[in-house]
Amino acid sequence: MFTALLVAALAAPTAEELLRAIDDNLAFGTRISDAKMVVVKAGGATDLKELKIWARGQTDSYIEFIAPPRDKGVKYLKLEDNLYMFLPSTEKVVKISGHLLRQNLMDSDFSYEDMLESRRLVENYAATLIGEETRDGEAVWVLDLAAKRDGLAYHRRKLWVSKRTNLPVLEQRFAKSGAPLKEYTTAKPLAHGKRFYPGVMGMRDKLKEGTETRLEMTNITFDAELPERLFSRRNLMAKD
Amino acid sequence: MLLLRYAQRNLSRQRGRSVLTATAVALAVALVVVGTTLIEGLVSDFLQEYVRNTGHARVRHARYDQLSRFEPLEYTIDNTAARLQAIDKLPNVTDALPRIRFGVMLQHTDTSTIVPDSTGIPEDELTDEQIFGRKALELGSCIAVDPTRERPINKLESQLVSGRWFSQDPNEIIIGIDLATRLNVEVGKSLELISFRDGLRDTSARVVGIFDSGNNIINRGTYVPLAAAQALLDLQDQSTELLVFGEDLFASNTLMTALRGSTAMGDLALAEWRSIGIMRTVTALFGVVFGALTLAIVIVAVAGLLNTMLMNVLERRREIGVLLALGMSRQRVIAAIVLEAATLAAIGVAIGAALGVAASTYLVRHGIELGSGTANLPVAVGSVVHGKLTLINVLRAAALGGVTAILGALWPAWKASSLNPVEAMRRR
Repeated sequence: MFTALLVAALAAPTAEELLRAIDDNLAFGTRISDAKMVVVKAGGATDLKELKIWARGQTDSYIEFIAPPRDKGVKYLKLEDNLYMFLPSTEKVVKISGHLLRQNLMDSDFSYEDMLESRRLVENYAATLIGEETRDGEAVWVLDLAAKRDGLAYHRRKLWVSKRTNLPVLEQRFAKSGAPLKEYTTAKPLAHGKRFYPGVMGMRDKLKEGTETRLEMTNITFDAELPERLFSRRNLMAKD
Repeated sequence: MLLLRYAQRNLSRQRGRSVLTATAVALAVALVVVGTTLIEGLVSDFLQEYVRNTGHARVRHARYDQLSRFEPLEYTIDNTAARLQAIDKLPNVTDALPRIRFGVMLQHTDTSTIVPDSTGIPEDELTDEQIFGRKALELGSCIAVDPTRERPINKLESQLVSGRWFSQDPNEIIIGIDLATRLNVEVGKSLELISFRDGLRDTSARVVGIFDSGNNIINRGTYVPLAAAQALLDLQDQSTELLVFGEDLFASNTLMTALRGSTAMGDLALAEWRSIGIMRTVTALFGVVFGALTLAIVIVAVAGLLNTMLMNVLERRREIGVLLALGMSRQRVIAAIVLEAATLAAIGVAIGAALGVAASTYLVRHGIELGSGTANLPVAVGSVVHGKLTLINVLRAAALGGVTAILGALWPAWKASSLNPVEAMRRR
């Protein structure tokens, strides 16, 4: 009995180690990917959007929507904590800040706040390992995360983290009041060396009824050389 | 005849007392005329303002009606043009207005702050203003209107403090003065309109007018042509509501009957103005509040008049005692006093009605300033309330003044005439 407990204690990582593992998993020098965003609306109708994503580290990214025609040309530039949106019809830029951050990104279940979340989880949350279980055949750690400071989009999170990939397969996000706000899932992990990146990300806005958004990554490339100008504000305004 | 002569003689003999009594009647009648004119005007102003946004009857998609707080643009009225044509042909219909209500993000970009790329200044030395221009951004509510149909009904044009009404160009916008200040725009400037419906849609529009409704909430709103909203929101030939107007607001039940039987309705939801929003409770409340206000004015007028009439008779108790001692019957004494009061009442009513109508005419024409407090009301009521003068209210006030004056004389006359003549003569 004592031996079994000792083995279990030695095998179980600490909550902070798990958080670092999740953060490290998602941290790449650069990332280029094509993606399909499937927005399921209340009532069951779906919208398919196609986009291209260029990312540098965890802080900077550049996104361009290429389909459907009505969304073609919409571009987003994220530089650290700043988010800019380019409007193709008027050829103007909107800086997304303040109350606009609560708006949904392109009618999806992802908010701009979700998009802006670039700091490592370990910096923002204090984690507690509250158990382990099997979920859809996958052995997972269960983590409870409490915000270290005010002002974060989510005050508490509960994560089910795959022991195999160190990716959260399910994440529930809560407001300070305890009300559920979002449910985030990942699937089809893509291996890159010893690390994994989610091939499919799902988000459900719990404040809406019957909606869901799936972001499916295709043609993903890690650590490729990217031009500096790609992540510049002037590039956002540049005509193709 | 003898009584009439006695009454006339008394009126001229006690000129001061007669003038005072007639003045009391005149003031009471004038007060009631002016008071009811003002109250009728306030109610009328409020209702007229309110129904501009509800119509005498309103048509919506049933689901939109249930969820209207969220302005769900997936529940719209389709085939709007054909439905309007059918509604136009209905009896009792004078106007039918299609509208789309939607939330929008408005941005003004001042490009004068942009530093051109050609200057060669590295980007990290430049602020956002120097790259994208100075931005002012506001979330606002927008009402899309058919400029031609809306013009005779909407008060907006008369509230313009600069600019003009819409032309045929769909890329125009009229905005409230508060919003104009926040966005730092004036007539002629361009705004970006951004909607998050089905992703993201944007368009630009030129500010052609700035309005001041006197209400802070409405002054943060915007109006665009229906065609522009339909294009921006991908709602071709659709609207979120149809406002239907008849000839008489208070005969809206006949309008409702006509609409219910119309092919234009289909399974759309129809609502009469009385049952829309706060009107459900306000119409009942109006009856109570303004009834109480009218009653208060009447009580003040009647109390003042009764007091004057009472004094008028009671101070003549010695004289009444003499008449009784000389053998005049009690009924004739009462009749003489009431006849005198009726003559004074007739003079007072005529003067009071004339004064009341004159003052009310001023209120009808120029209105009365309610101050800036109305700007923060949740419902648009102008800061100036105009009176509404009606013949029935003048006649009511005249009848009230006349009857009160006569009744006011009758009771003390009866009391005085029931005294012992000796006792009455002894009193001072």
